Order: sequence, then C-alpha cells, then structure tokens
Amino acid sequence: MNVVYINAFIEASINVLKVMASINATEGKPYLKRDLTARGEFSGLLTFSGSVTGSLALSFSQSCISQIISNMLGEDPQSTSMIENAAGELTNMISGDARRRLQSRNLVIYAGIPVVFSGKDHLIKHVLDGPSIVIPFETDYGEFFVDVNIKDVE
Amino acid sequence: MDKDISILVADDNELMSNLIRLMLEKNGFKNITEVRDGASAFKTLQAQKTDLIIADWHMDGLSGIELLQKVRADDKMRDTPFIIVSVEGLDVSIDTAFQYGVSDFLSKPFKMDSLLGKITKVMEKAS
Repeated sequence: MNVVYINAFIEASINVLKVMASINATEGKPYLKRDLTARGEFSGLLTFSGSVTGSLALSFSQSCISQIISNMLGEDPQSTSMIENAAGELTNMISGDARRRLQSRNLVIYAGIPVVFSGKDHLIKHVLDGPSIVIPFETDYGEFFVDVNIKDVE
Repeated sequence: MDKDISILVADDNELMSNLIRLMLEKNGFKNITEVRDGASAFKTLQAQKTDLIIADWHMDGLSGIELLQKVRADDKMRDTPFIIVSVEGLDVSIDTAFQYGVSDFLSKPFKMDSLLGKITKVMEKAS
C-alpha cells in the first residue's frame, strides 16, 4: 500500500482523538496481518469506493474507547451499545479526516456506513482478499488499531 | 446571541447527538430537541417552531441532505438556518450541500468553538 495512505490514516487517527477527546495517540510500526482477528475489542468497519477500493477497520481496546467516550461526554459509557456506537462513529470520523487529506492529492474516496463488531477476538473480514496492514497506536488509556486493506482503482 | 432559540439536533449516532447537546448546554442553550432520524426531524419541524437545525448528513431513511431539501421546499420552514455536521469533507460533498441551500457545513472532527462559531454566523445572517 502506498505510504501516502498510511500517513493519511496516521494523521487522521491522531487528529480525531486529539480534537474530539483530547487524547494523544502515538503510532507504532505498521505490520502485515494475515489473519481475520481484530486486535481490539470494539471495531468499526467500512468500505471504500472511488479512487480506491477495499475496507478500513478501526479497532479499539475497551479501556481506550471507554476513555474516549468519557472525555467526550464527561461521563463513563453507560452501555455496550454506546461503546459500539462510538466505535462506528470514530471509524467514520477517522475515515473522513483521512479522505479529506487524500483529496489534496486528487484522490476522491467515498466511504460506506460503518458496521460495528465487538467481543474478544471478533473477526474482521475485509472486502479484498489478502493480508491487511495494521497500524497500532498507543494512548495513556490503551491501544487502538487501524486495520486497512485497500488498492488503487485504475 | 439569543440563547433561548429552539434548536433541533438530528443525528442517528447517540454519541454525536449527546456531544452536540452537551456543547450547546455548556454554552447556555437550553431549548434543544434531539431526534435520531430525518423523518422524525421533519415531523418535529412541522409540529413546533424551530430556530436552528443541526443535522448529520448520513441518517437512515431520510438523510440530512434530503431533510434539507424538504425544509427548503416548505413555505413555513424554508428560511430556517440549517447546519450540516458530517464526516463528509470532500469538496464535492460540501458543494452539493450548499447547492441544496445549507446555511453552513461543519466537518467532523470539530471543537466546540467551531460549532459555536458556525451557529453564531448563521443566526446573525438569519436575523
């Protein structure tokens, strides 16, 4: 995958957590993921079309996403469905932020509405076959992961 | 600015709807109605006077853009200030929203100051 996309997802993830939840995130080294298992306990997954095809998942540890919600709303999440809700919306926002950054490179990418999954070791099935790229992030409250499998549309 | 204005927040995402409400309440706005979909938003607009609409673009059923079109086509509510808040930040999307008559557009993620700035701007223009 073009490093341009990886940089856009990194910058978007850092920006969204900072702006919406005042949480600093530090990216780790991206790696190839050859299995379907999500790296976090709550994930949002959406598909792309336009200049690229494929899918993006954001996968959060429970501690991380709970703190994000707490920082945004001033109270701890009241239910699992609220956390799932948040996973979907954060996936949406990070996708949107990344797509805006990529627009400056004449890449017009549309995104579908995210679906959410939860539970330890839940599976993420990307649209495209083959390994995905995972970008791990650390925060003071736990980890989250960008898990992406996309290719350029010729 | 008049903090007694009636505001309708339409967003199918509970987190964002709660957040927008919280931001508004922190700044003294108290007359806030939240709905979770576009159809409910339009019913609410027909039933009660609303001074400002804040709507998400993507909602099941009637989307924010479709709601905007219905509002602008209705004689009684056509001039209501309407802000779309959305993850859609592509130029083509923003242009589309303005073509349909949105008062202003706020891309997510956003800070409270940005939301309040947009509200002040559209309400001043409307008055």
